[in-house]
Amino acid sequence: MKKFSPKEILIPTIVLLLICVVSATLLGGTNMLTKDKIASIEAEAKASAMQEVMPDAVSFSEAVEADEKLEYSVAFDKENNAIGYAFTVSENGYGGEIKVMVGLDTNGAVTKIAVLSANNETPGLGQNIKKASFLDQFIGKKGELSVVKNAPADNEIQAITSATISSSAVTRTVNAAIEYYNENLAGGENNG
Amino acid sequence: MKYLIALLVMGLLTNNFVLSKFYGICPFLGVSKKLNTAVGMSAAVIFVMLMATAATYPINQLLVKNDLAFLQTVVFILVIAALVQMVEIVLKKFMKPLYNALGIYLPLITTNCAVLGVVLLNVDEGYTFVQAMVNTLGAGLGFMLAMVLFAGVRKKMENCDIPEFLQGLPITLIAASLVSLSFLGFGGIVEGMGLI
Amino acid sequence: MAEKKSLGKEFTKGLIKENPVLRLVLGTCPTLAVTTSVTNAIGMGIAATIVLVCSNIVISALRKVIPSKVRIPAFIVVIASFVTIVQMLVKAFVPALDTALGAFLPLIVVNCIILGRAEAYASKNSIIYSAVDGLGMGVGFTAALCLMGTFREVLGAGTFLAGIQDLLVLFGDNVLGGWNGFDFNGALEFAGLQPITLFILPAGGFFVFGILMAVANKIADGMGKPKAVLGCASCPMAAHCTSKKEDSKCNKKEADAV
Repeated sequence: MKKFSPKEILIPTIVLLLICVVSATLLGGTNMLTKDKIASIEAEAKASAMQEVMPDAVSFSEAVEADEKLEYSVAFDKENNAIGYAFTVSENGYGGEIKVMVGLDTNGAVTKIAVLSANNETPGLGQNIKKASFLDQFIGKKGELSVVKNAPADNEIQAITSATISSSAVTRTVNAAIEYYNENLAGGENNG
Repeated sequence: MKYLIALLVMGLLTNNFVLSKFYGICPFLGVSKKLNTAVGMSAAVIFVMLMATAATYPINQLLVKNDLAFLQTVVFILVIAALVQMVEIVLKKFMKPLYNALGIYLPLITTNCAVLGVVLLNVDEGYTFVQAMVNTLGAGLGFMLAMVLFAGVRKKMENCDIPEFLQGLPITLIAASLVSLSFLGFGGIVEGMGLI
Repeated sequence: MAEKKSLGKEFTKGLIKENPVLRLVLGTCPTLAVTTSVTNAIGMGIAATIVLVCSNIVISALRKVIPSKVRIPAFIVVIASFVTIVQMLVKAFVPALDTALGAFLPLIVVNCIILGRAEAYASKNSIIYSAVDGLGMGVGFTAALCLMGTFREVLGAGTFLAGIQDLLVLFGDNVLGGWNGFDFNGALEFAGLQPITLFILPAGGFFVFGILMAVANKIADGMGKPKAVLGCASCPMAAHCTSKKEDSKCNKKEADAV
C-alpha cells in the first residue's frame, strides 16, 4: 500500500465533515419546523380515538400510566361526573406491537374499542382487525373474553378468518383493560 | 425468557425477514444460486447485523437523551458503513481465513436494507439491549434459513425444463413466492407453543 | 458526452428502456413490500422520486468537490439527509402514509436506485441532466410500483386506490368529494366471489413481480434487447467491489446471479 500524504487524508476528512455539518443543520431546521405539527397530529389522533370509544364524554382527565403496557384517562360528562374510562393498551400481535383504545363504562362494560396502531400486521389478514364488523363484537362485553373460530357465545369473540393471532391480541388488550378496571377502579365512584 | 424465545422463533419462521418482511431481497435473489455463497453471505450479514445492533444501541440512547432522535437514519447508516469498513480491515489483517470466506460480501452489506432495517426496527419497537440482540439474531438466522432453503430450491430448478419466457429472474421470483407461501404455514407456531 | 444527450431522452429512458424496477432490477425490497395498495405505491414512489431528484442535484453539484475516496460515505450522508427530511415532512403532513410505509420510508436510504444513480450518473453529469435523470428514474419507479400495486390490490383486496384520501389530504379535506377509491367487494359478493387474499400476502408479491418481469423480458426480447439480470452491473457498490482486485470473484458472482 502506498503512503498517504497528510493532504490526501486531510482534504477528504474536511469535505466529509463539512457535508455532515451542513446536513445536520438542515435536519435540525426541518425538525424544528415539523416537530410541533407531528406532536399535535399524534395528540389529535389519540383525542379523536378517545372520543370515539366514549362518545358521551365531554372531557377527559390526564392519562394515568398504570404500567408500560397500559394507561387510562377518566371520561367526564357535562356535569363533570365520571362516566367511564378510556384505556390505551399495547400487546404483541402477529408482526409486532399493536395498540388498542378500549372504552369502559362505570360498570366495567365495553362501550367501544378502536385500533390505534397495528402497523406490522399482515395487510389483508391481520389488518382486518380494524374493521367494524370485528370491533363491534366487543361492545357491551364484560368479564374475561376468549377467542373462538366458530359462532361465538357470551363472552366469546369470533376471530377473523386466518388472523386468529391478531384477533386474540386485540382480545387480550380488552381483557387487560377489564382486569385493571376490576382490580383497581371498580367500586370507587369518583376516581380521578 | 419466554418472550426472548418468541422473538427468536418469530424472526426465524413467522415473520421471516426476507420472506414476509421483504428485507434484503437483493442478496436473496442475487447470491442464492450456490449453497456456499448463500451461507457465506448470510454469515457475513448475521455478523454485521449483530455488531450494528450492539453499536447503535448506546448511540441511540445518546441521541434520544439529547433530543436528536431525528438524526437516527443518518447516524445509523454511517455507523453501519464505518463498521463494515472496519470489520473488513480487521478481518483482512488478523483473520485471513475468515476474510477469505466473508470478505467479498462485506462491501455489499452496507446497502443491504436488512441491516439498517433491523436496527431501525429495534429502535421502533423500543426493545431493551438483550431483546434487541435476540431480535437481531432471529432476523439474521431467518435470513440465513431463507437463503439456504432457496439455494436448495434453485439447485433443483437448474435441471428443470422451464418455458423460455420464464427463464431467469421470473421463475426465480415465482419460486420465491412458493417458498414464502410455505412459510405462511408457521403462522400459529408462536401462539401454539404458548410463547405469547 | 453529457452535452450530446437530449433532455427528453434522459427523462424517457427511466420510464421504459431503463426502468429501474423491471429492467435494471433495482429497489426490489420496497417494490415488494409497499405494493399492497396503489395508494401506498404512489406515496412511496413520490417520496423516493423527491429524494432521488434532490440527491442527484446535490451530488452532481458537489461532484468536483467530493474526493473519490470518500464519495460513497458522502453520497450516503446526502441521501440519508434528504430521506430524513422527506420522512419528517410526511409525518407532519401525510401521517397516514407514514404509518402505511412504516420502516420502508427511512429505508429509502439503502434503496439501490438512489445510490446507484448517484454513483453511475449524478457523479459524472451536469446538474440539469442529473435532475432530469432522477426525475425519469423516479417516475419509472413509481409507474412500476403502481403497476404491481394495481394487480395486487384489485385481485387481493377487491379495491382500487382505496384510502386515496390519505394522500389527497395534502390538498385539503374532502378533495374529489371525499372519494376514497373503488370497492368491488360488493359486486364480488353479489357474484358469490371473494378477493384472492393471497395476492396481498408476501407470496403474492413475489408472484406478481415474477410475472411482470416475464412480460417485461418478453417485450424486451421482441425489441432485441437482453433480459433483465440481477448482478454486479446494477449494484451501486460494484466499483467498490471490483477495485479490490477481487475482479474474478465479482464477475463470478455476476454469472452466478440468475
